[in-house]
Amino acid sequence: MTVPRILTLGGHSFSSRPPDRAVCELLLRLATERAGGRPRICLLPTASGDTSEQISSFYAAFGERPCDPSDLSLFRLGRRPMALREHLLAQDLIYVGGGSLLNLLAVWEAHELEGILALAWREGIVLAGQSAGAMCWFEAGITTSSGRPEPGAGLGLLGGSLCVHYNNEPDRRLAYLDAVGDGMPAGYGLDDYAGLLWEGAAPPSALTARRGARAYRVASNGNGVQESPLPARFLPAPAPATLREDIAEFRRVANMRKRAGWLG
Amino acid sequence: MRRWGLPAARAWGEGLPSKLRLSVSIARTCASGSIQVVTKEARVRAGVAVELQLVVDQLESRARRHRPLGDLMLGDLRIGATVHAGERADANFGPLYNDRGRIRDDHLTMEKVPRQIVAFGGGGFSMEAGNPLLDDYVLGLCRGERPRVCFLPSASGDADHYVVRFYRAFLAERCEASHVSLFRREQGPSDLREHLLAQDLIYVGGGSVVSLLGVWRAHGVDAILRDAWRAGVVLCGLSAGSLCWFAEAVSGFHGAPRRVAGLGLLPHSNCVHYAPGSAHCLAYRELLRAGMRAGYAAGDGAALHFVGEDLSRVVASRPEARGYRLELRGDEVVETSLATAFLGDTAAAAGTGDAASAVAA
Repeated sequence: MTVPRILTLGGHSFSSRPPDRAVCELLLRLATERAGGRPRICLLPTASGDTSEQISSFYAAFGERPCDPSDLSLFRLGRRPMALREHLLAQDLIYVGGGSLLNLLAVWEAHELEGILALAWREGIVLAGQSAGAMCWFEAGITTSSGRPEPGAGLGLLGGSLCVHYNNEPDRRLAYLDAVGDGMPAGYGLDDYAGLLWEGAAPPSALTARRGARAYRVASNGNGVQESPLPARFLPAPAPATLREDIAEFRRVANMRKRAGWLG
Repeated sequence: MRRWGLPAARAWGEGLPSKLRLSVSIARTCASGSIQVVTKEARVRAGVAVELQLVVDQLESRARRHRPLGDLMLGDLRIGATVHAGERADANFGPLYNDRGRIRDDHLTMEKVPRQIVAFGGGGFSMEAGNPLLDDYVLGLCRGERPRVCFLPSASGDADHYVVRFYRAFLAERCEASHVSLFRREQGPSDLREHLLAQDLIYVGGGSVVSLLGVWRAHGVDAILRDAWRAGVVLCGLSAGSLCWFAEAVSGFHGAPRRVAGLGLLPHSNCVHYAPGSAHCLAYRELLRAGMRAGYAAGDGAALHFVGEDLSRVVASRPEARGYRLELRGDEVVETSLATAFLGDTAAAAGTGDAASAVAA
């Protein structure tokens, strides 16, 4: 599989709720297709400042699945040195978490990661991400990195622009419509749980993991900016993974305590 | 916005009455050919230079916002700021800066306010729980009863637990503490420049110096810190928060130590967590032989206090901690242990350590 692939998602988390499970299942399937066996999946939590929350929720989602998850924390290299290039190029899927688009690109630039990621993409390593981790692959996006929603540049592996959390954050959508009207390259709006899968040079296919979540083509024609919803394939959620015996036990006890009123 | 220079000869603070009138005038040509002069003025209490600077900046931006009806402003002809001291208009200290011509470097600095950087080799609340000596030292450099202290945890990726530890160390009864998280700009002060220039002390936490510099550049914090330093805000930090101030730094962050270019406020090289014979020491020596400029190293618990660009003092929170000067002489790297003043009670420290080592040549 050498077709360059990128999966861009409007917003999701790594919880065990059905739409999140559906997204994780898709990520795992893409990685497995590339690996032809047990895939290696690496999280880049840079945009969040490598928060423990993002890293631990990633491991909670992928730790029990048939894959080898890892994370590359650029802020923690002092305590855990890693060979950036070798590690990233050995992956089947690189997942970029959400956070500050501006900081994400600045830190990648400081560590000279852009070239490595572009090479990974050309070699067919699947690139994926949500929120800032989705917009970073485009020429431009709408970021709240400086407080209010405003246009920000991305790496430009994908042409055009992207606005995430589309109908979930009205201010961001309005800023995007203004920016496209003002000459930002046309692109896409993605609601939380909607995504676009880019394979080679073909137009993207839209996906949705939650009823009502949509992907839009956003472009300006002669008289204003038009938003047209794209037909999307629905991703069903897989059955919840069976819990490990000790976790199930812990939850039973916790529930009993709660019922008995021992909060704490 | 361009900075206004306050010339050294008319430095602020001494010999000035407590009330001043400041005015800024901008003369601009308009599309119609006429010349429009806009003057904005304000009355201020003479204070530290940075406050006057802010007033002048505000007046300039107010003057720039002025638009004549039905005409179009073109370029600046002249721009000037004037300070009238006291109530009497004749006590005029004259234009501080009255041309857009060549700006001399000494024109930009305010010599009355020393530029200070305290670079910790390691220590302070981040590394020495229960030993506040270095943190007390930097707080002591600030004027006023309750200095304003801002923590920049950027090098750690703005780790929450680190921010919490800062607030525990810098309690409200001693200072007015704040922090700026560049990963959560929506929550912090909206105007970074205004917030940082209003501080007495900016404290930079440890972590990755490469990531730190990247994030700072993205938000323009590098330029703001340079201005804050020139305006007399004390800058300090440990580890990555020390390396960042120097022209060159030894970063041990990628396994093999490498040379990283910092902000360059201090024209030296720097190495932190230094101990003679350690891996950091060997790496620093190798980089010096490879052409890195001479500089200073500090061990854990030692801090290098720079006034202007020059090292003024070395202080320590542990009796045995030291600062070092390293330079290449011929092919040889020469390491000089610097006289280091222990900040704690030397007699008490003698109980556990060697009192004679408190000050070493």
